[in-house]
Amino acid sequence: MSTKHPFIVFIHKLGSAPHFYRIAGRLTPWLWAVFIVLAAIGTWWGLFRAPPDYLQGESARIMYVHVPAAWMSMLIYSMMAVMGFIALVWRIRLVEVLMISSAPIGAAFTLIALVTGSLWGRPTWGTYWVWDARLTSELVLLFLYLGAMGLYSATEEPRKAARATSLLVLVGVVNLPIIHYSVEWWNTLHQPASIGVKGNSIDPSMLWPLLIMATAAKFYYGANLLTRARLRLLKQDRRKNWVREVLTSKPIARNDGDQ
Amino acid sequence: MFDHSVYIVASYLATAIVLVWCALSPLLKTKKVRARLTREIARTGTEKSE
Repeated sequence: MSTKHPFIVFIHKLGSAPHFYRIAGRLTPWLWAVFIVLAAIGTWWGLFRAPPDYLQGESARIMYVHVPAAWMSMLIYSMMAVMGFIALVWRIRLVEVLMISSAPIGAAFTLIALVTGSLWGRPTWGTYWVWDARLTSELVLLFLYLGAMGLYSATEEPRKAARATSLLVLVGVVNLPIIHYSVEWWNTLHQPASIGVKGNSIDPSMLWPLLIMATAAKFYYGANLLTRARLRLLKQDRRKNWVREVLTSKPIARNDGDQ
Repeated sequence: MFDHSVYIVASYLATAIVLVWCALSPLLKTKKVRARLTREIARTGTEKSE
């Protein structure tokens, strides 16, 4: 007789909506708390403790919100693409819910990256906007997020909507290397990456607050994603017993396929 | 010397506004959805008992 590894059992359980709802509900306040602490430390460090840049002066402090937002815009889209692939191949409903719940958060980070980049561009380049390869491809990313959200909302049946959205997200992945390599492939106003796998050209006094803000952004994504996924599950499963259980706090006999 | 404060403040403010709005909107919606579903459950429960 073979017994399943506890981790496999945990993952299988996590795939069921009621279990996910319960676990996510317990986890979310902690993720918000860590985000608030890290964001407070990172903001204070970036605004008051980190030194000004030798070339750009005080305006370089915008980096502590702009760079983590830009990283998150690409990371969330990559996550959506992976989840979209899983949703298309294995058709796991929870993954579909997580994928579509990621889109508004990704769009928010992309908007922040564009707005703060524009505000940083004015004192350093002398203009708020140029149709530069990096800026334009980031704007295309915002349209991809909005397109995914629009396509999902336009289709009534959630499972069908998730499949169509997954396909769109997968097609849009082609934009990610364009964003990343745009500063190398084309002659752009945007500076090349200061942090990479080959090394950093940024001083530790500026790198630390940047990394703290980047970590805070990841906790924000986690907390917001779980909140949005729980809301979506509540709406999708409104006729199921587990939702009645959650809302009335009364256990109900399971015979409606709550998984 | 060019004063950058206005751009720095505007950047942090815009970030805060977008992040707070993006965090609060699902929380407020959840509250609304839970209230609506609870009302629905109470109503269907009453209908069944009648």
